[in-house]
Amino acid sequence: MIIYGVAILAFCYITGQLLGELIGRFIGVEANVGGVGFAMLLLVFINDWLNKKGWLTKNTENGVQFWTQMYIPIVVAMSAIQNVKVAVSSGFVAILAGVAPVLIGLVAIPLLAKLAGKNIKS
Amino acid sequence: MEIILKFLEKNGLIFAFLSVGMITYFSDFISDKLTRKKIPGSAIAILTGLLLAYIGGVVSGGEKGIADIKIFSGFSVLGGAMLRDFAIVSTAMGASFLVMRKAGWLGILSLLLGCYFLLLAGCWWLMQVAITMPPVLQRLGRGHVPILWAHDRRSHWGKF
Repeated sequence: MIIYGVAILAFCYITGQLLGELIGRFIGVEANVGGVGFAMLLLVFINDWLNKKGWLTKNTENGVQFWTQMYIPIVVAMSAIQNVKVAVSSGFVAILAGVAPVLIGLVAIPLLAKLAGKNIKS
Repeated sequence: MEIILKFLEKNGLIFAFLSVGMITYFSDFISDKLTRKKIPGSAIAILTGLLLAYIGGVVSGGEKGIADIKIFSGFSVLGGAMLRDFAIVSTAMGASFLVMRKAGWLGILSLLLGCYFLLLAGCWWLMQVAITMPPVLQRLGRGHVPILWAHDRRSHWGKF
């Protein structure tokens, strides 16, 4: 059943995010600390466990896969609700703050690829 | 005409599905025909989204991009924090522990680089231009992380 997959995902989301909220409260910041990360870890664990038990049917999996596929469309919608007007009018600061990390990321890729090459050979 | 606009307003989320679907189709078409898939369709779709956000901001004078135009208000649900995080969490599904172990320390390194290095780089730059309020740093710095992170995971954990 598709709803099982969606429900498992919702369970992981709620548990992880709640934990993130609690940790945020505990260390005294008004924010969710690592909630998404906890939720993802939980999903990986539950996924492995269900797989081992053989309880994971194709349909259940599809309930989660649907949201994986929706990630990019959601990001597109997210980009469409940004305050781009202000970002453009505040000029170089905002643009460079976006461009610089991307360039750094691009530089990191060949370095990592080289390391990966060594790793595989050894 | 007014009936249609009212209707789309009331069914904002569904209309957002349709709109994003059309943006994606249009972007894939451009990616295919104009750039011979050199630039992925999703990148063009995100750029299109930003362009729409700019247009929405100019037309409405608001702060929420295209969502300030009433018939596109569903974008703020589809692109909101809740569905975004829900979808991000779901991407962990494909990552089994066996595959993660195969990616090894390099997978972990690229993950950490993707998250923290870029966050720090974004923050460092903002400090250079004298913006030092922590919430602003956190927001702006973190903005780079989700997209790059997802890309990271796919390329390093997915294919090994």
